[in-house]
Amino acid sequence: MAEKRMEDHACCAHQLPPDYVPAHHADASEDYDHFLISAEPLSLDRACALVRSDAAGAISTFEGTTRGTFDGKRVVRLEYEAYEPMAKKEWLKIVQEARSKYHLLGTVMHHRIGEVAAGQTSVIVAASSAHRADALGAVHFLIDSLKARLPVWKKELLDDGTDTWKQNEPADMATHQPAAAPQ
Amino acid sequence: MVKVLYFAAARDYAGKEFDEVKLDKAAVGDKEPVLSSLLSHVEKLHAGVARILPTSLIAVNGEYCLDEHSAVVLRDSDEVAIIPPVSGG
Repeated sequence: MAEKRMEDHACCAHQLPPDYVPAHHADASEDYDHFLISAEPLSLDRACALVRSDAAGAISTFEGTTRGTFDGKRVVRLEYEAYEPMAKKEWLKIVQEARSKYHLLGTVMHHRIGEVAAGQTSVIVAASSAHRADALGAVHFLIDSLKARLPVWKKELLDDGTDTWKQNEPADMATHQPAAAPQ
Repeated sequence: MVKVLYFAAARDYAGKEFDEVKLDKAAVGDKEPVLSSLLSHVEKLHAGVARILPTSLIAVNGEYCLDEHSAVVLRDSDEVAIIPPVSGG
């Protein structure tokens, strides 16, 4: 029986030929990679709409929200600021790195600046891909990279009248190995 | 003239968003103007900024500067930014 050899596709149990490459864009481009720094509320629906495509089998998202307590004290609000021209340059590098690790269709990175009340959305990351492993992995990589590198800061104002510039914990970027090296 | 931008804690310490520094002998000495000389000048301008420079990164024209600061030659119209530890997300 002349049967074409098939391999298990780890992410979704499809039987796929060994030379199969999922639909993806190798190079970052503002045609399908979306970046926004905004003083207005962010929308997860809008982020999903930006990456939705009939070539995609998955849209994965991350929404970061502002915690209302710190060290047992109540957080009144956070104040975010960004070095916007640099943030855009750094974002493009991060997205290109994500595309070297994962087969991606569209991506979104939206960050809120200005005053953000506790419990609100401060950041949204989304990615679409033909198969879910790439979108899931890419979103994790994108948010960890954002937190490590994007020139954005937040000041936390507590109800005891004190305020502090926060500092992100270093991320272990070694956890981000390619799910499947794009070709 | 080089623009030096201060963000987050750096801005609080400097009490302003930026300085414009003329790359003259008073600011960066009489050798080729390099980033390390400019940063020494900034430390003299703002004692508070000096305290957080050791934990800050420096960006030149919107890109992290990972080279030895004494080897980075500055030109007029360069934009240098003090980047305290980031806290986006």
